[in-house]
Amino acid sequence: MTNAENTPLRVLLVEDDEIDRECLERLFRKLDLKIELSFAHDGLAAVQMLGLQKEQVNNTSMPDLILLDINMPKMNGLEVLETLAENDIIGQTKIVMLTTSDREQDIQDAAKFGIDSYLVKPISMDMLQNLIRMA
Amino acid sequence: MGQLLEGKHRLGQLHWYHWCVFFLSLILTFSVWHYAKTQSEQELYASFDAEANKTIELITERMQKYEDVLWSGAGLFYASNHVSLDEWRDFAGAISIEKKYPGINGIGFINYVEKANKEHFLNTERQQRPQFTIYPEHNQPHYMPITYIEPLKGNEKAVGLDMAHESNRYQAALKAMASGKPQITGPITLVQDAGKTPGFLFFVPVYKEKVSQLQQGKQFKGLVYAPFVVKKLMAGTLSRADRHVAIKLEDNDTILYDETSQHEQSSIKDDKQVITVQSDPNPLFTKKGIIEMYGRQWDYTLASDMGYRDISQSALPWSILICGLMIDFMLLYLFFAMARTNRKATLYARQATESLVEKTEKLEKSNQELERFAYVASHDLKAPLRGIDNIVTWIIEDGESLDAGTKENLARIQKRINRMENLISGILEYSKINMEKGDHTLIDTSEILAETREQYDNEGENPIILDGEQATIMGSKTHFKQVVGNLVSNAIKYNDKEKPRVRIYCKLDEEHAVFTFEDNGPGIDKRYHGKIFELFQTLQPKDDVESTGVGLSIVKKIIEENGGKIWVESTLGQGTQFHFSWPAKHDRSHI
Repeated sequence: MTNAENTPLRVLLVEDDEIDRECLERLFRKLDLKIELSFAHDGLAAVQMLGLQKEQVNNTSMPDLILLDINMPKMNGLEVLETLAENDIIGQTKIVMLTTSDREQDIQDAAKFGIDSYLVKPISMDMLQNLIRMA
Repeated sequence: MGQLLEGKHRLGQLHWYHWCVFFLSLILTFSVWHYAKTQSEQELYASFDAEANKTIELITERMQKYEDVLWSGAGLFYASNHVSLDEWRDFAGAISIEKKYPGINGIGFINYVEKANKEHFLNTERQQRPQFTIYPEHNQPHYMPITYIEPLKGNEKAVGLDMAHESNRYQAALKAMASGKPQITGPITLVQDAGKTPGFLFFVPVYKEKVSQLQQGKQFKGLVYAPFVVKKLMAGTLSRADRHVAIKLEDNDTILYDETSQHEQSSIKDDKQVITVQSDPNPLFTKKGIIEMYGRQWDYTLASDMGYRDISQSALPWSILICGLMIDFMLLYLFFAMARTNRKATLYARQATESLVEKTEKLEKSNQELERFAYVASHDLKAPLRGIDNIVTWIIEDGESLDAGTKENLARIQKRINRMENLISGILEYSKINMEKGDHTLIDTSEILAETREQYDNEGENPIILDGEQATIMGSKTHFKQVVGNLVSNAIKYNDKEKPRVRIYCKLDEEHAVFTFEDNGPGIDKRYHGKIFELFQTLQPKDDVESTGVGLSIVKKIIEENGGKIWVESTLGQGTQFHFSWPAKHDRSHI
């Protein structure tokens, strides 16, 4: 809603699985929307991209939507959430978990950080459309 | 382990009540022993007392007999003016003292002679016995010489002995004379007794005529007398062999006779008679008293002899004590043995329980690990499968130029992928049952059944018929929903009728609600009734109906997890009834 008509929606997908990344990319393409999609291959890469490293200052502009996997090497999705929370980023941007895990424990842990939604893979076209509408 | 060791220490000891019983039985034993001992001592004392009395009685009786003999001697003098030596000898022979009156030394007569008459008296006597004389010399105003003594043998020395020469004899003689009553002397040594043992004389006075007491002094004729050696008297009197009391006689602190201080077996030989008393240096019982004995007082002491000691050590009280103590200590041993056995049993039980608890814990842990493993494994299997699915989809999307055969094969791949995914989901669901039993609440089953029914609503037509009682049950709402969902979907999925029907009803018993899902399907052959609940078991070819064989396994596990049971009733071709019980919460407060 904050976006003007011409500004593309900036989406950051944090996902270690190559196929999953391509799958999402294909879905977005099918939706034919103005979207600026960037990828982080793991949690640590995402944190770096968002400029949340200790020595860095928060100068990069935030994406409108972050899609976050949980099971990832180096830094998992929950740890990313923790870093985001420490930097008061949650609330500034929409955060949606996109994971294969439907464990109660994971859902509850993620919910504690005040995320916007929790989606279990596989993701369908409808789900994605709803998501974009929300963003 | 700490608890176990602590318990071991405590278990090793007897309880207070064990000790209580033991000490009570000890007290009882000693009381019975004491009672028996006292009782037997009392009996023993009674028997001693009787024997002591009898002994004294014997002595008195015997003395009375002697008195009688002396009186009969006196009678002789009353009967005639003069009794000659021969007449006296005849008299003594007639009463045969030696045989009939053992203990008496002889019987004699003492003449009372005034000083003036001495010569006349001597002359008269010397007519028969020229040697007769009065001795020893003294200064008394009269003489009292022993004139006759029979039998003479052994008494020769006494003939002519003057009673007045010595105070003991003289006092007694005077007393007899003055009183007219029998009298004995204090302790003296008889002149005729070679053994020089204590003895005494027994006097009976004789007067010239039977006169009044006042005149007795002048009319006095003499004394009939008998000399006694106490030893011989006692031998004659107390000759019973079974006597068990020792006697001691004293006259004014002079010992007359004493058996009590003879510590060895004393045997006093008097011709044929033998007294045997085994005196006891520390007698069990003694008795003291006084016998009035013809003007003298004899102090007597009677003491029980060794025989009493033997009897007093009677076995009864001691056998009571010994047996009692043996029983008491056996009791104590029994308690210890019992305590030890008990301790062993308890220890064994504890060890068994501990190892059982340990095993159960291990088993539970390995079960949990297995379930966790199944969950994680199947979860991780899903990701690559989805990847394959995605790629196949892309191939179909991108490859419009693909030939029909390839397209069909790709579709078959997707179908298998789908089945694989269903299988994995089934395993996940199955292994999740234990991990997610969080919500244990009251469940209103009518609500859930109604919700499920709604899902099958199809333009007013509904295959589900809700029937019977409604129940409130305890357990997981999610679980109950799963059970109902699975059973209803099975009943409809496998139904071969045009209008499938599922009738659901519930009956309440004491502790459970029993639900029945009755369908009009093809029925299940009896031989598969057990198999259908096993994991991955299906009754139809996999491609006919999309089935993983997980549903009923999940249903069974959930029901058992919540404390219920499931069973099936079915005849092939006539439909199936699934029954399951579930712990109920009867709430009749509103009715």
